[in-house]
Amino acid sequence: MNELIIETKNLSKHYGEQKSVDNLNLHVKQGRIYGLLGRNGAGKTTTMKMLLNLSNPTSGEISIFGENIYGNEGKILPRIGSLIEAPGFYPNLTGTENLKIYALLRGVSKRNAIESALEVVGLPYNDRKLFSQYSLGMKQRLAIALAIMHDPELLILDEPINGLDPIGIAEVRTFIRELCEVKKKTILISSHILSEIALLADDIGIIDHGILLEEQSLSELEDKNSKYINFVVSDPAQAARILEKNFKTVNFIVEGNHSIRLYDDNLSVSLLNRTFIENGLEVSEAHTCEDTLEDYFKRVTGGEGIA
Amino acid sequence: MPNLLYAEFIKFKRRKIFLFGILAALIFPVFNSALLSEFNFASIQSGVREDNAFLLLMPMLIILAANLFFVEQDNNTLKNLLCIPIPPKKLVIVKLLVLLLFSITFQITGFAVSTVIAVIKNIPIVDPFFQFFLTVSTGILIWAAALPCIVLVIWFNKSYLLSIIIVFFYTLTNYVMHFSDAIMMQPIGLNAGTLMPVPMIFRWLYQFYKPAGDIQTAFYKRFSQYFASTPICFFVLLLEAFICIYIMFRIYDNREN
Repeated sequence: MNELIIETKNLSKHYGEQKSVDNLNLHVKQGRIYGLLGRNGAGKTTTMKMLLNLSNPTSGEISIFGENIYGNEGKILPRIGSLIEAPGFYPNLTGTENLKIYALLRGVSKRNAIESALEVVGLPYNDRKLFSQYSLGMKQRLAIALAIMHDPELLILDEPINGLDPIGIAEVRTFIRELCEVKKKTILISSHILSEIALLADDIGIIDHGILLEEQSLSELEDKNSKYINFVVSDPAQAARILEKNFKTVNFIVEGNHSIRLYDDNLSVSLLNRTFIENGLEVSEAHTCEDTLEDYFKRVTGGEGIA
Repeated sequence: MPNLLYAEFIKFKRRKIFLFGILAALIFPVFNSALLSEFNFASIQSGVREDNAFLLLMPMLIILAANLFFVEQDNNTLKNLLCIPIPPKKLVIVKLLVLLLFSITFQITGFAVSTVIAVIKNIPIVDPFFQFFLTVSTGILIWAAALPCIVLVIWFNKSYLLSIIIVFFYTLTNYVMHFSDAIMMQPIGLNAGTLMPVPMIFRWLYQFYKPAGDIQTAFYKRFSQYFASTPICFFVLLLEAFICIYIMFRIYDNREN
């Protein structure tokens, strides 16, 4: 099950001087959900557009199902379902009529393919409501129905929960997991919402300013999340000196005026506490903590957090 | 390709653009029958070919083309089609095919209405198949004639206002040119009378006109040495059409989504 469905080699997309995607090496394994995580403008959509042959890379290679996408679009693209950016449909047609056009063009032979896809996303079949009258959430659901209607092996979903209400988000999350676990689909999903990626993805790629900073399984990332002891003390600078002198460690960060984080969790909390007090420090709090995925994201991107 | 063609028509469901477009084919036959006293079937059909086609069909084709080509951009649906994948060239061809079908249908509607009017007015139906051939052929040629303007519309991209301005000037320029002796009375070659579509179509059509009266006969004789033969007319117009289609392909190839 570790066969690579998507593999990119040094994939780059430059717009003049601006590097939208820079030497990206992406590896999406069969039967897994890969979450591409990054802030808005990090290069997620550009990457997905290149994977779908909607945008030409400046350099690099894209292999999908083991074949180069360029020159094999006719073989590869029908095996992919996609949702890129905002949903695009004809406003004067109903949801069902819109899907019928694409079913016709895709040559979908399964009789109830449209009905099934609409049922999965919770939209009515043969409803009279025109697409122009749809809410943002309904539009997003219809776009997901379009992506899954032809039963593709690979799904490329760009921010699929955009515009959905909390119940809709939970429903979409459930059926994306089902598609992967029950129907064995491979799914590449992008989001700027870290909690969603953490709940859905098996593997995570962190992209920032067009560069893929990390690519690991969620469990590996969780293992890498650092544990630390957080002390709230009267004088963190003195606490830092004590740590260096008495415990021979510099693996700490002074945070604010009263807090110090010690990443050396082999040291005994009670011994540290006693030593601080013996050296005249007031210790008001001492906790053993673990970095969240957001902390990790902040660390690797070297900046602010993410939603 | 048939599915793609069918899909193009489904996209315009609940929009009356095709219906109103075809209904417009009734305007000149009805207008001419009410206000002019046409005396023979050829003359009535000539009105359909020149008034209907030069003044109505040409701008309608361009407006329709703007709708057909902008529908994907306006609704953000091009990405859905390209991911199927539908090659952009195929998409261009099918949209042009829709325009060609519209053009021919428009002309056939004009022919049918004029024929009915002729029957009602007890005008003998002479050479109906030949007249039908000329009218349908004009539909094909006007389609080709509209393509340079459609290239401009696609090139300027997503501006309906600009499209309408282009349509107005293109239609007017072509129509005015076919009244100009300086343009029309020139041998076939690299000149406006050959390269501009409406003057070229007129040079071909006029040879089949039956002049009446001294003035028309004198003009017919004077103009006859500049008539364009059927192969020449079709060759020039279709060559221009191929060049336009090639330019459209290039525009779509160079455009990213």
